[in-house]
Amino acid sequence: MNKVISVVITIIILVFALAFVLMPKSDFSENENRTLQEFPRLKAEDVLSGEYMEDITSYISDHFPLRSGFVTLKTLFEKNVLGSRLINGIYICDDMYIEDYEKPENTDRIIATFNKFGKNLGGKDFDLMLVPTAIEIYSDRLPRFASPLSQLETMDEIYSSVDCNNIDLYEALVFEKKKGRRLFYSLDHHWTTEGAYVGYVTYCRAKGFEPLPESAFDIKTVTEDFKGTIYSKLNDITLKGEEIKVYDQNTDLTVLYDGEESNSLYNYEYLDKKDKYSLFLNNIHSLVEITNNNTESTRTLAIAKDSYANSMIPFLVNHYKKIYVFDTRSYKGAVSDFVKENNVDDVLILYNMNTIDTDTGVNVIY
Amino acid sequence: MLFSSLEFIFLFLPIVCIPYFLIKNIKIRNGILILASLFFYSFGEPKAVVLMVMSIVLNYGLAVLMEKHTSAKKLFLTASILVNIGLLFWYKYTGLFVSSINTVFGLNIDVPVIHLPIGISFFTFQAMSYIIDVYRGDTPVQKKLSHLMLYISFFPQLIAGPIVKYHDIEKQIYERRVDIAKYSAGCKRFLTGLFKKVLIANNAGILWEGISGGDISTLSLGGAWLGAIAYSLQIYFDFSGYSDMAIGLGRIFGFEFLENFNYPYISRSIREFWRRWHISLSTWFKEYLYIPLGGSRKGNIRTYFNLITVFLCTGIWHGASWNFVIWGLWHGFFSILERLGLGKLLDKCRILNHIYTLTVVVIGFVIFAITDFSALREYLSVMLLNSNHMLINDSLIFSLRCNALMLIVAAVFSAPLYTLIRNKFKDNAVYALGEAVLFILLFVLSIAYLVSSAYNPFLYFRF
Repeated sequence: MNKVISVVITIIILVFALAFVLMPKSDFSENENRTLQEFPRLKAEDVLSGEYMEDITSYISDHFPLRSGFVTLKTLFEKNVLGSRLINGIYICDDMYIEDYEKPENTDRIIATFNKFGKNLGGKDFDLMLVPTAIEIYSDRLPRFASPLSQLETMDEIYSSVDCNNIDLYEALVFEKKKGRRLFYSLDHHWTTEGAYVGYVTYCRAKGFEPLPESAFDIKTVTEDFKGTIYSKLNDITLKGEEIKVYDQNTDLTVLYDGEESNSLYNYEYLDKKDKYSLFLNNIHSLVEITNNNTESTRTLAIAKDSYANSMIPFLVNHYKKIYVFDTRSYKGAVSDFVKENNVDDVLILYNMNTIDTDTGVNVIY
Repeated sequence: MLFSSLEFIFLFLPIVCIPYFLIKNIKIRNGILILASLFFYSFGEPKAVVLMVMSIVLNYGLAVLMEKHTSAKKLFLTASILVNIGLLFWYKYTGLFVSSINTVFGLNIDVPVIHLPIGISFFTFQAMSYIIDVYRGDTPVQKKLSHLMLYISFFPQLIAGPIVKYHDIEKQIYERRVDIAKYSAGCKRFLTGLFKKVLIANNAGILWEGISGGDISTLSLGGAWLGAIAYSLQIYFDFSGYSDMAIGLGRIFGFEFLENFNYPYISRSIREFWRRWHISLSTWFKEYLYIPLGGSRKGNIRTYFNLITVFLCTGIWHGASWNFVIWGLWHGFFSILERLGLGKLLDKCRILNHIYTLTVVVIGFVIFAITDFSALREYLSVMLLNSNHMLINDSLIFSLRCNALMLIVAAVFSAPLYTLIRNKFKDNAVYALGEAVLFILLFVLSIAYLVSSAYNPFLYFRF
């Protein structure tokens, strides 16, 4: 029987080796949202530094035959055979999937950055909204005995150490959750449009605006097949996609995406792609300038943020003449200079607690 | 390039095996293995490969000189040992040496950053085995540089052992059987090692990292022990799995290496543990250090001195950090205590001596694992009843729940239970078929783990 084992294994190895050599290679993995390693060019310096061999190693694993199937196999094995309830950083709960919260390392630096931002504004107030994520809000849904770190401690530390107006969403999110609402996607790390609506209402209360009721919007389900980043991490093909809702309304807008003009806050072309959340505010732009042509308000707002803001901004347009949305990683100037030069009325910083620690945009916010 | 990597299994191995099995001439076969080994080493160490080749040529030359000038034999031996130890010292211990001098004398010398070439601790020890064997007349001098090159650089044992002794392997270099039976046995052994490494060691490692890298203030006593046990399982399955892969690969190409592990965790004393753990290293030290020092034949005091010397060297061999020294001395301390009478005392109770041995070994591996002294002290204090920490907590139960099956399998395979079952049923056709199916399924699962480890969803829209 030893011979049977060795012959079968040898055949498996040879078939995969051959398939690897012969199969066409793709350059991009939609599931992982990244460019795959190209076959490296032979350069003496890269060989000597070992970089060439590292690239070869990545090339092989990036283009390995049936790669995505193997990831699925591992997840299904861990979930069903080992009975694990934490796979690749995702808690497997009874009716949802929740991303784990990792120990924050950069809290002090983030506080210092926000304070520096405040100082650069020259005494002008700004609002800070930190969004606790599913692991905090739906902690009662976690598998039994799971005891992840709390985001609230870090959140409170930032709130109490930064000189600004805090907009704390925790109570409001928990209150709405108790009504049975789905505030976060199960297969993606973002909040749902309903979650973003809670953020909007809380923001309005803090600013003294009258928030629009949900009945003022035309709520549409634009897809039922959203498989976001949590899905990607598990690659469990037995999971069904979920819906994305858009709270639509008839407002005459002029939106400049890095200077390119449009009249919509949504780019529905993303519905045909895997990365469907990017339909909100047309994904990433260093500066988005939104003008509301219907409103009588003359207020202006500048937002430095992560992708959580993208689904909340469509609500905010009702209360401002102009909103400037910055991606601080790619925006060349300083947001604080922009605020001073353009006499912007309100300034909002919005980040979610799960990724603020590793967000590279926070470092360059001033 | 690790054995447990896609590039090794699916590209390197077929490219080496196909010509090797097509050509029957042993000289050409040896040539293929040397080329493959040099390529294998340069894939991870594109610069240090020159160092390794130079070291082999030098040891070869010194042994030839030793043979020609028998009157100056000792001089050439000393020269060779100085070169080998010198290389090892320079590349592995200079940093530790300078920083320790700085601490002791309050100096501020710049600590040099020297890249440690992979496998240097293994190939320098093999070179010394050769030169000492020749000096002692245990084996004739090797006239062919290529043969010595193959002995020292042979890729299965090059970067993580076992440390093959020259006198054990010499004849196989020019005379060995290569056939389908050995190929099959080798494959199976390689697979066993692959499963141990990929399915058990890596997952035990994740558990240990999760516990030791987490917040120590919320760690429970049970959690600390679970972490220590997970690390002990990780290091055993990692290292013995790697040895299995090396032995299997050797067999595929016709070589028979000696065993490197023999179920160390069933030992009933620390002395027995060292007869079962990393056997090729402990026998190396025994043959080339302990016995030349006089072994146990020169009275008690001298024996204890020799033992401590060997354990000190064993400790520091594992890495350039003081915790490895402490780990070596920790084992030395208990093995002397056993000689002084603790052994006899414990032999009266079979269960107690297992508990004693495992406790010493597991605490030892915590010392081995944590290089930072204050972190080590903190971790050990949680293990040894610190009243500020709970006995058990939710996080311990959750870890157990997610890792139960892995831990049970690891515990079962730490004991020779499976070997017993296999020996009993090896002629049973149903058992053999079941085993074959299991091996193939586990192979596919191991590939799934290897592929997944390089699967990184990159969340670029977390802007």
